[in-house]
Amino acid sequence: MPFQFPEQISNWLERRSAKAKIEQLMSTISELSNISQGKDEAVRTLLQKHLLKAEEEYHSALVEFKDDIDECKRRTEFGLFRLDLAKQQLSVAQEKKFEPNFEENTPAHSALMLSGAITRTKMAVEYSNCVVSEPIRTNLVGVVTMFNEAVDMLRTNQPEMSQRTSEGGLLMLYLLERQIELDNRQSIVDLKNIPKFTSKESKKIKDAVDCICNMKEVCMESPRPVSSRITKHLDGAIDNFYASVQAFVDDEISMVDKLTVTIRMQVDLSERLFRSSTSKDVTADGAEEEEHDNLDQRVSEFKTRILKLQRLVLHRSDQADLANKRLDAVLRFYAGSVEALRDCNLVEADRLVGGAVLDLDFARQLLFSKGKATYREL
Amino acid sequence: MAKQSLTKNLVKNRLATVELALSKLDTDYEQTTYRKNVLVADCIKNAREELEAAFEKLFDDNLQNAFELAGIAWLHIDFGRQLIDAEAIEHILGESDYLELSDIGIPWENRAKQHLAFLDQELQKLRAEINASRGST
Repeated sequence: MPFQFPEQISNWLERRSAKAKIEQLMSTISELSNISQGKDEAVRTLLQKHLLKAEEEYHSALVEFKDDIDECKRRTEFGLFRLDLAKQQLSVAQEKKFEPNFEENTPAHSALMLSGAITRTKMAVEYSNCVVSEPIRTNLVGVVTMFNEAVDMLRTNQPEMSQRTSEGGLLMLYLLERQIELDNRQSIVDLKNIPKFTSKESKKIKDAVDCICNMKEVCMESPRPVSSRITKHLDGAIDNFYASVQAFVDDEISMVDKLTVTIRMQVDLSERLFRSSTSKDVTADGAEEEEHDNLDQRVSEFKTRILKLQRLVLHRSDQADLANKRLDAVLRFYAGSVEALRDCNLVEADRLVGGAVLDLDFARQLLFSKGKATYREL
Repeated sequence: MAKQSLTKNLVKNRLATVELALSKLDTDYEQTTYRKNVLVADCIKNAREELEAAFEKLFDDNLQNAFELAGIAWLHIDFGRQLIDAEAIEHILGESDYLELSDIGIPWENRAKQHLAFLDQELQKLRAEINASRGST
């Protein structure tokens, strides 16, 4: 049987070793407290943080010393470990060689590519003073979310999905950059910053974006107004682009194929419609039908805006309920006015649009004015 | 992330370097007076959480995990650093017209006013069309 100290002696030895460690922790804290002088602020702040945390460990260790010697040791070692890292930080402060350097085509590298592309897009927009519409800005926020998701997937050990999410984010960014160029009617060199896509599927989606945007450009340069039937097909193609990015991220390859083929068909169809509309005069029936479509689209957009506004103010403004009732009235009046205009009942159309204007002003006062809201002649 | 042979010293160096970069980013962010970008604050917060977890893993001798977590923290720090540097240049050389990439940054009042402006414009357009039709009949 191996030799064993009597329990009392063994306890005494353990306590003595724990006490020595606590003293070592204390002396390291004092030693490092003096070193921080003369270092730059970031190093000093970091050192201070480690010192504070090490002091917390020191105090906890002292408390545990009486009751739980194992916990006391763990606390002390954790404090010393922290200070050891702090010492390392003082020596690596000028060294770049330990910075993470991710290999190409790894999920982490893809995430790095995406964050770089997001920042370069932001810089290009800011330097060229481009106008970015709210829907495009919202989609850019979505790309930032994709970056955060891709990083989170690395943490939860889903590297393949992370890489696809990063690449999906780059594809989204590619479309948004082209849309910014189209909206601003200028080519912005700094916006062309998307790295080459590696997979077959992402190349297909990128080609689909080029098809959509080239056709959009043709429409924008057309001297004649472009039929809503053409823009409807292009809008549908953009919806399918978003769906194809989602399918790509979810690794549904066959769905990516189907959607990119559909996008090409939609763009082809809009191109044929565009060609036929420019090669021959639009018939009277066709023009009437198109005007009808345009008005429907405007009512639908108006309704969407009202609903968005109502959702936005709810629970934020004290008078949101009252304002939302007025906004319901605005929508009713507006839709009624459009209908009356279609029926050539111009007096009624004018009366109703006047009501919509008054109610919109009333809703605005409820949301933003301090005094009592009133109906004002505008 | 790809597995590689790690020593405790290598992981410790990576952790030390990444945490130092975070501290520099945090110091710069605190000193920025012209704009406090919420996105940068998020990057700092996320990186700090990852680093704290990496620190615990290293203490428990889980080198691979600690190494990877430090790398993830670096991705957040790198993004935050790029954003803060880009905005510094826009502040110095540009018109301080920043592209907001987070939703929290825009007050609801401003977004509500944008919707109201659209609705106003549409009503004016409709009114003009009605008047034009009146003129033509």
